Amino acid sequence: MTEEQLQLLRAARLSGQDENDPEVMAARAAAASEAKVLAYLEEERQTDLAMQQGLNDVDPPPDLEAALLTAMRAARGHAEPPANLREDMLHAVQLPAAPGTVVQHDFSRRKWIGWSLAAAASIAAGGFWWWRENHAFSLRRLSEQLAAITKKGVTLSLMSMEKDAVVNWLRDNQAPRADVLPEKLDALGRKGCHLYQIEGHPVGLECLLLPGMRELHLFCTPARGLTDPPADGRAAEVRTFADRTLATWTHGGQTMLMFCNERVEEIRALLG
Amino acid sequence: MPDETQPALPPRPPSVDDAGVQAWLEAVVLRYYRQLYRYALSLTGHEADAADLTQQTAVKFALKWQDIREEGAIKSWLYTTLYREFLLLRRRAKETVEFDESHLAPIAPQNSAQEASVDGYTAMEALGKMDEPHRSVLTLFYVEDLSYRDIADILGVPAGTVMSRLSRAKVALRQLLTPAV
Repeated sequence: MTEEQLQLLRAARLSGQDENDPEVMAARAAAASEAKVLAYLEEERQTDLAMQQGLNDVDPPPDLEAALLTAMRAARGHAEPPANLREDMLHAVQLPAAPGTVVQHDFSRRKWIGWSLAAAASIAAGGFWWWRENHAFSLRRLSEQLAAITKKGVTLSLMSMEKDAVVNWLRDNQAPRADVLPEKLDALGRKGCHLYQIEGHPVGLECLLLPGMRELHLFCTPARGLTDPPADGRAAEVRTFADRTLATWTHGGQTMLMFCNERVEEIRALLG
Repeated sequence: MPDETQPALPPRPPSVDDAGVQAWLEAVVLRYYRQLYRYALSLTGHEADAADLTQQTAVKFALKWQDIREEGAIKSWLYTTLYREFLLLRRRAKETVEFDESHLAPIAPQNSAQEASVDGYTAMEALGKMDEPHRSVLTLFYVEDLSYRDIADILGVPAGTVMSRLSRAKVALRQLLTPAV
């Protein structure tokens, strides 16, 4: 028998699933007349079975199963991420609770005071919001609002890696979205999308993914709602803003604000 | 066989919005996590790192499951992802991860009637004495009963390379286990 046939027999699965493979059958036939080889293979098989059994006796830590389920639920927005998740994965799973998730509040007496103050503040804020609703706001003001949102963690109403699904969701929900994105940017994978209302202005969010699950948060709002939108058709301005990289540009009447943690140079290259 | 306690997999949910997606993802991970952990442990030699690698793999699966077009490719995807996570971990550590047997919980010594068997500690210890390419091939062969072609896909090497590594690793393993077997 040939060396290749010997290797084939040694690589045959212990469960016997390969025994009907023509090549394995030919190798077995070739080995049939070589008693020493057969004996060696049988000894090796006993060692293999013992090793397989030994490895299957190794049990994972008892808390691993629960940790995996928690991490997966967090990744899909159903729970808080576990503390030991790697930094980049933690960033990937930091999403708010999904609709329908039960949030328990502590209604102790001391908390009531806090809630009352919060309610009063909400009423005051509502009045302020109503006042602001009738006034256009600046690019800087919107940038500050969005920076705060991205720092806290964006909301994704739809989680999908399919570009078409994301685009359809944005369209169906009347969310602002540019008809055309820079080619390299548009080629990236998606993670999901959302529609925000910021000071009465609709702002669409498209979450894109760079290799390594690095997120780009692309916000889009009608340029006419801003007091000082970037000039339509001009190249994107990329700079550092609130400890993050921010790219802003306007195309087809829609102003884009894209936040990420990547270097300014990398984003410039991405936007061409 | 790899693991006699494996639950059967429910069918893959038809769409992203299906309420059964989460249950299906968890069923898949519960089906494979023990074997994935054993593979991770053989790669790292460290229980905490192995648990982390298994967890990163599960999270990636939860986020990227739609990239897996065929149900039959799930197992290979999981092992490939775990192996890539291991390479990433090793690159970040900027040095080869050394097998550290002190992190493995000792298993009770065998009695004379079991002299032809290998316990988990001995198995991991023997694998830990091999270099990573041979250790990886051998573990996938034993833990999941994978074919050499599947192993080649997971590790991204030619099938012939897997066969030759497997042969060399088995010879080395028998030498390592001779006092124990």
